[in-house]
Amino acid sequence: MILKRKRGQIELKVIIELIIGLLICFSFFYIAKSFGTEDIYDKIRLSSDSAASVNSLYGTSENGFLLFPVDSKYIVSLQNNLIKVLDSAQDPTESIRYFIKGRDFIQAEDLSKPISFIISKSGDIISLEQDSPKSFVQRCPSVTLTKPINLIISPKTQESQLYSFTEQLSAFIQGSETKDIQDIPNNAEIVIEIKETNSNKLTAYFKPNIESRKLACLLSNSLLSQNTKLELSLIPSEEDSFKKAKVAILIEVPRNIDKQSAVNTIARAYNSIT
Amino acid sequence: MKLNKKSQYAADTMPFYAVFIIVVNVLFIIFILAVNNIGSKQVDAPEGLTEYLVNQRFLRSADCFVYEDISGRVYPLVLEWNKFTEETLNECYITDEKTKPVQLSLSFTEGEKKIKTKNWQPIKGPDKAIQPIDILIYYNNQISQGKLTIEMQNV
Repeated sequence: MILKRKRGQIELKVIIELIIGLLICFSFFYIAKSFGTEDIYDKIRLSSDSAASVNSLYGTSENGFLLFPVDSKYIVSLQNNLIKVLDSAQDPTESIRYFIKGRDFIQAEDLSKPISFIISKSGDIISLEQDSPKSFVQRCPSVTLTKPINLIISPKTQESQLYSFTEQLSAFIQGSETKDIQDIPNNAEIVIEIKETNSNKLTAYFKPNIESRKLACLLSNSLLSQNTKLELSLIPSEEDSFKKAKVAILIEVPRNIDKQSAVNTIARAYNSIT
Repeated sequence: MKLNKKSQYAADTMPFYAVFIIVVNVLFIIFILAVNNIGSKQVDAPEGLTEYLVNQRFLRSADCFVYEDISGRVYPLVLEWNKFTEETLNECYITDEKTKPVQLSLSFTEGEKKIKTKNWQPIKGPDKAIQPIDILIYYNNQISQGKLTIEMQNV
């Protein structure tokens, strides 16, 4: 009787140990599986991929964008030198990855639960957006352009269809005057010449120096951001009218563009030069 | 004093279970740490990727040393000798306490230049050096063969 009880006890002990062993194995498997699919890894993956994308955009002089088709349940935040992915404002498991900043400006942005998002570089701005950029602007040289005392806008001839355009532009820009090409004095500081074109392409010709390219770039970028359907080209040129001025540009404005808003845009862009 | 069979059995198995529970707990903790470590390494950017991407800006971005003509056309892998200065480096590679210090050396037949970021520690020396990269150098309106060496320090 005693023997029988002992054997039963031993058999029960083996069964209990087996069950405990199986439970431990199962819990290890379950933990490994849940860890592998846990939110924290999604956040790390998303933030490190995004930071790598920003680093690669800094490595190019061209415009570009990277699409992240993630049906994300997180907040994606682009800040000064980091990308943050988090559940809510007070998320203890938020994932932060840093990128190394360069000259390009970071436009800070937060996107909440985006279906997809885009990290793009347009001109010298890197941004986080929900949709693909409508247009890309040109990257302008980093040279400092100082406002001259006197600016000449051409043409002035009343017969020209652009007369009202240049006159209005001159009215919006302090210290500017309109003149015809032949009347531009030698050693003029800045000359902006306006022409019209039938094409839908906005072309800015500039005297082959860095200051002229900067001015052409600034003004045409402003026009482009106002009318995103425009195509834009910046071309160095040796126009005769450019010889008299230190900084000279010729903008060929499409005929179908809204003249009043073009005047406002150019004037605003020019006035933003410090 | 004589123990009965039941208490004798409990006394026999108790040390085994005590050790067993401790061992399982230790294994459990090690397991969680290992899974956590392997998991985060797998989803994070591979080692060296960030360095590679950052190095590309020295070779391909006109904001750094790459030659850009007056029309704005950029020539990747052609570095402009006159742009290769510490001032340019510190503008195109903005350092903070989390950024690896970098030292760059550019050499060609006409000369050699060595520049470094603000946070470079000269006493420490480089922790990692990338094999010299064959590039072209724009100098005095001419293009010559040259080499760029990139050295880094750990943060």
